[in-house]
Amino acid sequence: MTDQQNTTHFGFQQVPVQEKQRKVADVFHSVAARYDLMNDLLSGGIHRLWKRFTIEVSGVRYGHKVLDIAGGTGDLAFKFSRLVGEDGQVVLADINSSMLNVGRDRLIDRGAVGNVQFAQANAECLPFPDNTFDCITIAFGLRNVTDKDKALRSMLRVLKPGGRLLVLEFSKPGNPLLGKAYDNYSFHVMPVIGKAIAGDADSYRYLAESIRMHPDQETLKSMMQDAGFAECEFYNMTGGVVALHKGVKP
Amino acid sequence: MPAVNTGSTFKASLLMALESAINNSLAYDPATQQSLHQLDGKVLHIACTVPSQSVYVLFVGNHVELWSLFESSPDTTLSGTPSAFLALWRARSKTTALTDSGITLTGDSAVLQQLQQISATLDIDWEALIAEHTGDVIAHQLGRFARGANAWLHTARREAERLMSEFLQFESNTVPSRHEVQGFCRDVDDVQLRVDRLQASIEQFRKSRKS
Repeated sequence: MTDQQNTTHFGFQQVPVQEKQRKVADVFHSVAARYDLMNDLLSGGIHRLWKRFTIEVSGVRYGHKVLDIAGGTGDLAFKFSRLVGEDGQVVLADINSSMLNVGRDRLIDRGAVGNVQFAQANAECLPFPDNTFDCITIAFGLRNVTDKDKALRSMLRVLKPGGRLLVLEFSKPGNPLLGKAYDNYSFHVMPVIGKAIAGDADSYRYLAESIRMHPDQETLKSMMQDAGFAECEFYNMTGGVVALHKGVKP
Repeated sequence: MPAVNTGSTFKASLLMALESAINNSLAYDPATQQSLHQLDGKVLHIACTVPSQSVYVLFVGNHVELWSLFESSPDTTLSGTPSAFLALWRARSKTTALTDSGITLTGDSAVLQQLQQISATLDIDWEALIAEHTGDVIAHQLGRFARGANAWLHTARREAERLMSEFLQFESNTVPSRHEVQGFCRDVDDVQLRVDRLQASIEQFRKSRKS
């Protein structure tokens, strides 16, 4: 990820490590207002099924404490807030203030109050005590984190023993034909729709590039194991376009 | 460990649509929605044996969720064939429905009993639902038509069942009447009882001769 000159990737570009966070923040400040609409348009609504499967695998029950990192507009947090009930707690965390504001407004509008808290937090250094959460989810957020290993270690620290980490992220399709079609869609269709709807082709080009720079299924699984997670496995969805990784704190 | 390919996007979308339809319909029956709070936090596992499919029904507050996977133990599991589930759904007598249908129940049976009680009082205001799209007048006309059609179908079905039963029992003599069957069963029970008594008497006689 980081070469000798202390740079890291931002899509296909190499940028100084300190600059990546600002550039990613700019992307999400730009797309926050239309994030949900764009997700529906770009995925054909399938992102709802991917998130639904994540909830099913989470094993979250009444009274649990859940941390939703890079929670964005609060899709997962809303579902979790219903599942954990009034005795549980959900923390919606996002490093980006624009996304967090949109998420908070949406959750309040949908009546998810009382057991939901909001935190503007960096996944690399989570501001929570050790052994706090029963479950942590990070959906479509890990690829934007500068130091993924540090973030995984930070998540491990705040998870309770036996707690689960679920990483939902774009990945590598298993079928070469699907991969080719997916590449064409990502690099030619996504920026055009991004420009037409959100008025921002560059941000959607970055999203496509960042997906290609993200570790594939096996690599991410190894990273989770190296961070200290046990029982690591992953579930491919939609032919591997998206993968859900699961790890348990020993 | 190898990757697990879920391959169930279609099933997930089907469950999502069904869940949405159920919850939208329940919104037009506030009493039932309120009753669902009794089941808050409970999980019912419906396992179809042929084809092998599972659905988990989660009761969360005043709505239900349908999941294809549940990473914990459900409170109640019902397993059986699709026809058995259909028989359970259509059973008139809720007390004998489970044994008659061929469904296997494991876990807490109270969940099913509560669910049966709640579904017995289900009264969705379809007219209000339709009125949102068509207006009150058309919805009322449609409601009247539907109620009339339902009443006619109900009467027609009952009448057809009665006529068919009478034809088979009295006209064609293909099957015996309920009373004949009950009388026959009583006679069989009586014979069984007498044989048991005779056998006991013989045993007693045999023992007294030996001694």
